[in-house]
Amino acid sequence: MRRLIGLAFFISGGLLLSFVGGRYAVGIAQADEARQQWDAGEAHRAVVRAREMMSHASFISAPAAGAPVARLVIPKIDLDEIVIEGVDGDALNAGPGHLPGTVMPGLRGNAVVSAHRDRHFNHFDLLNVGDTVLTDSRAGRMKWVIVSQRIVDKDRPALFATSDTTLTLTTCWPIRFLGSAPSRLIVTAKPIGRLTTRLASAN
Amino acid sequence: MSYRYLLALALAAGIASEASAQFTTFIPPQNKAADSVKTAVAVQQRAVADSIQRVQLTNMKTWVDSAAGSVAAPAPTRADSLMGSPPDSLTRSQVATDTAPTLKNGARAPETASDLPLLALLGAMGLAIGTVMLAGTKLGRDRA
Repeated sequence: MRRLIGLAFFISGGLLLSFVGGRYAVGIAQADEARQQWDAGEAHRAVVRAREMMSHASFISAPAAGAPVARLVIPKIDLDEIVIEGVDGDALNAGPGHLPGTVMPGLRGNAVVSAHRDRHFNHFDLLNVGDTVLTDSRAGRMKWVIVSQRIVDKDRPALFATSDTTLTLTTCWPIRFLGSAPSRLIVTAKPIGRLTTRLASAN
Repeated sequence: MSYRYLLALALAAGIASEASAQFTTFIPPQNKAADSVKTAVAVQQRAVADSIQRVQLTNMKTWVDSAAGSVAAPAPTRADSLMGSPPDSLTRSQVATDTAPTLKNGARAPETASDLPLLALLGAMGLAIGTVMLAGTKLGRDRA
């Protein structure tokens, strides 16, 4: 009997660990694929940007769910991730997700990017007001500065439309927490300039 | 009519037809209106580029508070709005397509809670307990 119980613990523990490991592995593979797509599309984005600037008829088409839409770099915490369109389970497993219905980072309005605290934003507790954030999207390359950090209950209002250019990064809070975290960390950044060169890797 | 006169006439006719461009081409004066449009566009583009280089952030406190959602966002100034704004000629109707922002004030933050760390811990504990129990069983059997 004791052996059977031990075997049940062993197998269920192994299955759980396999599931978790598999999820992380799939996420890493998807993130790699997204980065390859992003790098491969560098020339294409440059052409699109130039064409949009010429025609002034830009920012029309919405990106497909799961498509890489931006690059997010936070030098202080060595974060360099490709942002995926969407905030569902699969998108957030692959990388930080851009909330559909919000603008791209760099456009006028509030651009919202979210990620899991146990993966891509796992060092967000080290960020402070004044730290620098860099983004690259079809709206251009931008340099941002963090202007506020808030912690709100997960069911409380957290996101607001803005008429000026804003970047909002969200993740769960507390960062070190077992189970479903009860709060959300809301980091808000404002643009301080455009970048003309390619973003250097933070890693 | 002498043959010289005829020869001169023939030469004049032949040269004139060969070099007709010199006699018939009319080069109109440059279009003043077009030039002024080009100049205006160039000046405007230079002005936009220059103003992006010297962006000024005005009314900082209200600007920061608006980002936190505590007060209504101020109307963007010319300098502020240059940061990342679409081109001036891009009208609202052009933007208002399928990418028009639909974020509502007071929306909840996306569901980023993850149970994977807890599941990993539970899995590791199950594995450890199972290993200990199986090892204990084997040890007891060996003793017996």
